Amino acid sequence: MNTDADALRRTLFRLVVEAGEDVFTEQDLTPDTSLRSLGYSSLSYMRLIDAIENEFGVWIDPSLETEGLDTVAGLATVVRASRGDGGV
Amino acid sequence: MTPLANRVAESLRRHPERIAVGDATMILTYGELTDHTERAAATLTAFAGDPRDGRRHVGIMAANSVNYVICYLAVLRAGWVPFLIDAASGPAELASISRDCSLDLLIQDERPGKDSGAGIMVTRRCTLAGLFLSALRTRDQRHELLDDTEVCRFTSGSTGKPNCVEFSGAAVVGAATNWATGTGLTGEDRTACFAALSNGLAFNTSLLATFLAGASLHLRRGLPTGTRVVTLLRDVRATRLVGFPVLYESVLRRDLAANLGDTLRVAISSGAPLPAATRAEFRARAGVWIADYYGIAETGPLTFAAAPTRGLGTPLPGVRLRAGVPAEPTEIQVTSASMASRYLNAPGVLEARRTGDGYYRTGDEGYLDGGELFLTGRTARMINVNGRKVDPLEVAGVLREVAGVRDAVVFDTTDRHDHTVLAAVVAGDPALDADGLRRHCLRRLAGYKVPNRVHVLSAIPANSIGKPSLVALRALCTTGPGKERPS
Repeated sequence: MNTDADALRRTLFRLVVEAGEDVFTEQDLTPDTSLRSLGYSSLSYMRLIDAIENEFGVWIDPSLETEGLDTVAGLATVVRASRGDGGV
Repeated sequence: MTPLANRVAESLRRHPERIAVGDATMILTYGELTDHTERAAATLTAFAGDPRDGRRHVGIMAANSVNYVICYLAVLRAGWVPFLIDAASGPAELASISRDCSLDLLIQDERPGKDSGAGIMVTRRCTLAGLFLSALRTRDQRHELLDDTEVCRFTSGSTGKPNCVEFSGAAVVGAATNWATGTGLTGEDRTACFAALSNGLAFNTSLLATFLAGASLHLRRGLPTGTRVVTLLRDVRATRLVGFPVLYESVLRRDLAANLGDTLRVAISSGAPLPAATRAEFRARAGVWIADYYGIAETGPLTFAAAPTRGLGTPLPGVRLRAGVPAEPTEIQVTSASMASRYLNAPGVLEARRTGDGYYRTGDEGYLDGGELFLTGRTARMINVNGRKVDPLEVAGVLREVAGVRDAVVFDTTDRHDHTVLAAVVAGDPALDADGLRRHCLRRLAGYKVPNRVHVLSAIPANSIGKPSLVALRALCTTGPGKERPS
């Protein structure tokens, strides 16, 4: 279970950086770092949500998820909940 | 009733059984929308006094919803003037708008406090069609509207703050009818709209135009991710889609465009240039050409490109354009049936952009070829951040408020995804940090105006005549992670 959680988190770190705008790296991120505080824009969020949906085959509705999308830990919870594997 | 309110009421009465407007939580027919509007107008007038006392200035600052539409129509029905404010505006921007425009009432999604902390003082509150209505404490100096002004919108202007654009009822109706006629909007259409109703794209193409045509408007709020867009298109069998270029890019990234052309007839993009590759790919996969719409806050919609073309299309009804020739582009000048009257909070500024014969100087450069408009550049300083205009001087002014900042320059650069982003270089105390500067901007400005990249230096790089060197400034921003991390 921990291995799955670690793999999910590692993938999310990668996707967050790829969807961002070149101003931070994975080394700048912790699971609880606020993406907004790092200058993550609406456009970055759109790219990130698309990438997460493509990667995990889930649907994330950003109009319902507000706080959960600001950190990698929150994103992991949202992804697990969307997959129905009890992340909430 | 005012001319605009009359025209709207007539349209609503014409097709009582048809679907008028929907969002994620409710759908109303024209008959139901009329009833809701009448009730909301009665609540408004009961709350804020006899309309014969004078026209109230009513700010609407909310995300897209059926309730937004009800409140907008109710303000018109009451004979008052709606001011459509970007829901992303920061507290200080709202305070400035409230002061400059003498707002009497404010309609919002969230229940406001007595004092927002930025100078908005609420004296009374109630609910209005599911939103929150507040009476604001007004000041002695009142900024009066022109007699025929019926709607006000805002644009990032040339004055370092949002300019309040006054429109007559005739101009608002002109924009809607000419858009409907020029683009073939009919009562059979179902429009899916993700653009904010306060934005010109939605205001001109979707709000009144839909109702005058007897069509249906389906609204969503929040980020227009590809999955959400396609879900809405399928749910309501939309025939029209209105959005910024990033919406179409997202649909393609998710590989969800296939077969959209089964019901979708018209896809409209505006606000920022749509990459040619995006248009071609969407056409190949969805079978739908993404039509460009060119319009300006101060003039309303101007051109529409219904058929595949490299340009921005031909003028809509009521529009006259002046521009250069292919070999020599010049500033685009326009007149239309939907021209703004003036800026309420910047006397003389809009008037100064009019030529002696009544054309508006757009600040865009281009040419006409075979009757079609082609855009080649801009002479104005606004930065287009994915469809939203940002005045770099406004943002630089906010950065200069921070203790320790001696100077600031704000400019556009591109990220590795080739999207325009906002960057700032600040000269000042080495202890200043980028996060703190961004947080200050976020407290004062709408989120999209906050620079993504902030560099702190001892001095602004300058060119040989002492002006900030954009070459040197942009070079700073190409330094990605792993090289020099922005401070």
